[in-house]
Amino acid sequence: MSEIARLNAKPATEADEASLLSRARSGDREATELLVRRYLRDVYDLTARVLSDRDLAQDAAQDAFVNALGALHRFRGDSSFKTWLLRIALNSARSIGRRKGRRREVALELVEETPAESTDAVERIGTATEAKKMEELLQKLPEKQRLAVTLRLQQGLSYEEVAAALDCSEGAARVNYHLGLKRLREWAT
Amino acid sequence: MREINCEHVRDVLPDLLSDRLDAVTTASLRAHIARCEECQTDYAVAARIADTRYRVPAGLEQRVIAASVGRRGFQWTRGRMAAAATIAVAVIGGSTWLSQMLPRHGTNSAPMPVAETTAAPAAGFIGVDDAFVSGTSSLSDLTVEELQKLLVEMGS
Repeated sequence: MSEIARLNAKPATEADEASLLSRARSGDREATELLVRRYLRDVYDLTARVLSDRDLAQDAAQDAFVNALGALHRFRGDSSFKTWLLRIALNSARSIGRRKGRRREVALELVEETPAESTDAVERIGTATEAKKMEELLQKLPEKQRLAVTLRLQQGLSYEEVAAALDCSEGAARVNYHLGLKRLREWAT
Repeated sequence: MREINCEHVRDVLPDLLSDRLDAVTTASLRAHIARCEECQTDYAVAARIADTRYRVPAGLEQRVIAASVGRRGFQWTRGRMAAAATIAVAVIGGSTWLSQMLPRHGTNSAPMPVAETTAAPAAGFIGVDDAFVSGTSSLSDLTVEELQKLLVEMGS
């Protein structure tokens, strides 16, 4: 198995990530590629949720990686690389949104995850139609609530990490997550 | 064990959905959800959000890689800093060495007979070679007598 396939196949450990960042910092092309492959989906998901436009979301994702990888020497490790990168991605998306105005011309494409086998007493609701409906409800939320909910639920970030990514307090991240979830529950029922 | 209430369930829903909790906590949460309609809705909403993400457009990965690798600015890495330091030491050290070596070469011999400062050179001595090496004199500085003496020396 190639190194790229091997590293993509396993979750990032701190040591693995530190080594990757060190190599990327030294200009190692393969390490840079691995970082892009590892985090592109998370970054694109965030920029898409901010901009609601496929083309602009791609531009913002690209800007985020170029800016982050070009400033790796300034990454001090106070937060995880992913959180730091998401914060840069959020800034890129907001900057592009301000420059070009929010367009809703190019539809975003949802991908349906395959839920893991579960013996839950509560079954997961799940059809493509429901996914689309949920996406529409998410888009109705104020940005901070939408991002807090999706960063928590989709990317599995802790409140501390959400706060770091959104540049707000941990308390604010928690309140936004709860308010967003409450609204979605009310709209969904 | 922490008491299970609806707010706590909402707090840990991401961990519950991704199986990051221990078995005891998971069982307690599931028991609460099973008897709480509000938490059942929250769980269903959260599961739907967690399972639905945007598809990364085809070609974006290569585009981002090309931009990230190609447009990265110069970075001061440890290796580059060490190389720069070595070059700096070599340049500064070499300049210092040269500036010390050249004057020393000129002053190892007797003082050069410069017209302005040396009114009467010592008899029988002409520092012609040293003057040429140090570049501070020329044949025009020599008197006729000294030139004649130099021709004799060159002929011998």
